[in-house]
Amino acid sequence: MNHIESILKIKKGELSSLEYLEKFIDQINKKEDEINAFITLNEEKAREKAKEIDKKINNGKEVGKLAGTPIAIKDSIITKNLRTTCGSQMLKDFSPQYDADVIKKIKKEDGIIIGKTNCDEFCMGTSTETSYFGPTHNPIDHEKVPGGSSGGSAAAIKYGASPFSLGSDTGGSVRCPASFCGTVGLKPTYGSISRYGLIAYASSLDQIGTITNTIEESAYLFDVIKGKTKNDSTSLKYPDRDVYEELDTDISQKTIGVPQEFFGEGVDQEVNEEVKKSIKDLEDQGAKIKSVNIPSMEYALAAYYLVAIGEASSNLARFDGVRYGHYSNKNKDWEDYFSEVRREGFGKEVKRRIMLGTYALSAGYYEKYYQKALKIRTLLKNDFERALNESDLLVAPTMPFKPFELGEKIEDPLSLYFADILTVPINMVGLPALSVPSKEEDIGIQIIGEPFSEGEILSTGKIIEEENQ
Amino acid sequence: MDKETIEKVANLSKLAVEEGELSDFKDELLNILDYFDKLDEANTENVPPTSHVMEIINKMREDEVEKELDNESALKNSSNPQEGYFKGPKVRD
Amino acid sequence: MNVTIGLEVHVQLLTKSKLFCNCGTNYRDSEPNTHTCPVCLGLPGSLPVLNKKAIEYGTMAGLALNCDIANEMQFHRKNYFYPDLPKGFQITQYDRPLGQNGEIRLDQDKKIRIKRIHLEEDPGRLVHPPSARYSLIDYNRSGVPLLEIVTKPDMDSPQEARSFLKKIRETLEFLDIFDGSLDGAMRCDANISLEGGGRAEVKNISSYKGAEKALSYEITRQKNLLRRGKEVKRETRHFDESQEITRSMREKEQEHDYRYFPEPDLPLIQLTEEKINSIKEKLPELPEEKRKRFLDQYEITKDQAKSLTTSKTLANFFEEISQQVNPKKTATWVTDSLMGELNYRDQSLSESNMNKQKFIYILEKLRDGDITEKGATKIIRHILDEGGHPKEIIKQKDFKAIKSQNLDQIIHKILEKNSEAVEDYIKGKEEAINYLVGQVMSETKGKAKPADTRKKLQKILEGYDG
Repeated sequence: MNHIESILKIKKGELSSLEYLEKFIDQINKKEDEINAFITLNEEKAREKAKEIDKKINNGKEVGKLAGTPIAIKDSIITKNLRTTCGSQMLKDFSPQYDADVIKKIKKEDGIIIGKTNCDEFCMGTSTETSYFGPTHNPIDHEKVPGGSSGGSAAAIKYGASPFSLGSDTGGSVRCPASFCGTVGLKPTYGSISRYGLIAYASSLDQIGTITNTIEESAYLFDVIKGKTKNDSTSLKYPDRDVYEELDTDISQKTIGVPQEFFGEGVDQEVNEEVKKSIKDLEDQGAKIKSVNIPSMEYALAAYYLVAIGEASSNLARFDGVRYGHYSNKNKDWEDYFSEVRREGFGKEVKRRIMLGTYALSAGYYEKYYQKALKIRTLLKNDFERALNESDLLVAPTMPFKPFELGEKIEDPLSLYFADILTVPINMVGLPALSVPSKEEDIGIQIIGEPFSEGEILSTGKIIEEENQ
Repeated sequence: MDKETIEKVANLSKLAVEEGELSDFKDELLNILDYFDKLDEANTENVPPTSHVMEIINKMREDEVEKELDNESALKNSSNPQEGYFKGPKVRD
Repeated sequence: MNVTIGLEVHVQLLTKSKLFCNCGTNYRDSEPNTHTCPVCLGLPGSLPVLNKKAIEYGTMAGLALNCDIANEMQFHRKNYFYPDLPKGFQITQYDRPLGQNGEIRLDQDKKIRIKRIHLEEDPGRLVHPPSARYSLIDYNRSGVPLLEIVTKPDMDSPQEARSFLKKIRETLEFLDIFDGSLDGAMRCDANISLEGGGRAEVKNISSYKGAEKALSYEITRQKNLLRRGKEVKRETRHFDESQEITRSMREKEQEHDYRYFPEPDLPLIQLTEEKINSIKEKLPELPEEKRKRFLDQYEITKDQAKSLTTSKTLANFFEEISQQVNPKKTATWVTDSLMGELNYRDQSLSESNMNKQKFIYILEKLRDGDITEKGATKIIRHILDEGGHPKEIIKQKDFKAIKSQNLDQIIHKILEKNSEAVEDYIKGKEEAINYLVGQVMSETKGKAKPADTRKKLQKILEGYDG
């Protein structure tokens, strides 16, 4: 059942918000122990809120667009008075003093936060295995990873713990778990959703996104959280329209670009074939198919990692055990104190990235690494602009392979980095991208569009979704 | 990247790397840096760097005082605050 | 030995809210950690939003310091750890600052070149409880806007450094973007070297008196080293204000690698020529311009014009009084009498008990001959020390000048009592009249005007002769 219908029922008083919520809590009680999708559950407060909303409806009062529907929030997003850890020991007891802009919007529309979902520590990972709170299991196959870093959000959606969820995507962290868990993941245009209250990994790449079961649900949720706010100077005014209302499955006038580099070395044959089947379906629906190129793609992964870790090394400097977070005995010299707090509070992958990022920004290496990566970014931007001049949308695989076994790659960081090869270029250029399941549940199709073309890419995703039903 | 560089970077990042971890760490980092060297192949002559991907300019706000956190909320997540202050480690004067 | 001094001055801009958040900037009179928010506490997830006013104030300062104002500027992150720095980096400007290539002229017409000016955020404030093995931190100051002014090494004495700082204060105060009377509103670091020695950077100077003291100490220290054939190390030193000495920072091999990179959370700032010109047009009159205008407009002396324009309060005080009382007289009384009395009491005009109405009243009474100059001075002193209105003071303290008929009577009385002096005068001993004037003054307790008294005496004594 599409959860937007449930919202409408709640609004009409045909379904109580509390009753609806209890269904998801039941599911959590049944399966959460096996999956570990949540770091923090918020059942009691959620129930109170649901009762409040039911009361409002019974009293004939207006309720917001989310009318008492539960939402699972990735733990990289700040929630006032609700523990926010970002998957790290560093923040294991952190109870924020404020709400992220997206949370304010959700609360304003009467959404109910059901819990905070598991993620890689500070979103650094592709498998949700670097979380201090243990890995999340893929609901499709419990031995497999759910993808990452928003693995908890995708898994929660997949196993029915929540109808809607938010993730965050710096290099694929929404699209990857969406792909691995057979769900829909939208990483919107950079700047289309306020980042205020998203714990920063790499500021110029981070973007909050949605993970849901269906395209329509993603569009619906995106409409609630999109748009410029005064707190994020990089947020942009979104064109005045509702993406949900815009969904349109006529694709006969469109040209689909197929970027050749996304089907090359390192991408599994099985994945290639599945994606091509869906491209064929689009062609059958009347779309023109055109081969396009992203020549600088071969440098995208290295350039992405340098930008990401450079910014991360700075963004994570605030965790020093003074104002919040992990702390230790303060009766010592500050340099020793900081080093100790950070050594204890951060996990291995986070330390690795901070060290590398510090190195990449340090005197004598800035030009070779960080600045060079920013130049590659310019090349990528030019390549994508050209490709999207030649076509309306790009269609490619989301992940180069299917979900791998838990523990399979975690000891070899570089091999894990390679999993991001098809998603990171999109963050480097700020474009919107969607992952929608192919006919194979755990293979995602990535649809990339021009800035603010969320309506278009979701519409195309809807065609693929309908074909696969 | 030698031991000395790792120590320097660890000091800049305020991450204590213990003697035992050092060589493992070094190998992993070297492996990754090796991959990053791939960028040396790319021709970026006359290519400007892009630090902000969307072209936004002049985002500013008016000079107005708005709601501030009260002292209790400000200190809420800190350990052992004293008389309204955050407690921090020792600083040489 | 040639001395070379360059300064890095930090001044607090008088915005109402902080540089990157909406918290108030009034940290001085507040309880600790009561002007903070997620942004200036560096809470995870918070983001900076630039204060428009800070850019405007910075541009005004840049124009007043004759800088080239950037048409496009960017903020950078300066990465380093310190317990007062909430984000582990400071948002500042690096290779694209607000202004460059400025200069100002000191009074002796010496030119000091300004390399650059830029905006940055202040860190929090550390408190060291005595003998504690920890620190206490107040983030009320965190994020307060600072303008950093970096000079070229153009100063060659501590006195010159002090004049430069005074000049900066005076200029920025005229723009109403700075208040030098606020504690710690101006702080500076100084680079100083002597010919043949290494350069020392002296940190923690927080007043212009301090600057002069710190630099004088450094010159003596470096001279002594060089005289003894020792090396002057290139190092960072800390100024101890209470002991008036500098000390080597003796910190652990501190690695300074700030890893500057463009602040991704803040978009570029563009200032069009039009915008810069509109700020320029709104720029208030600067001390130099005001000085010239005063000279042209009021027939006062050069020295007076200079003194009257050392602060905006004083200049306005003078100018407003001059609308009602003769400007020349006003200038004399303000510069000679009032400023002298204020300096003696180490008071500034704005914090003293004097105001325009009172001063106008005094000058008018003086003009009308109701009080003497001596009386006027006494009234000014009385107001500065104890307050009150001149009208009341004149009444209570009997400062009223002696009227002409009354003076005649007193003179006759004195002449009767001092016949010897009178005779001496008549015999041609002209000094004798001084004695008589003195006697009248003492009899009237200074309320007679000396010049009038002398004239009257001469007239009467001439009559004796005839």
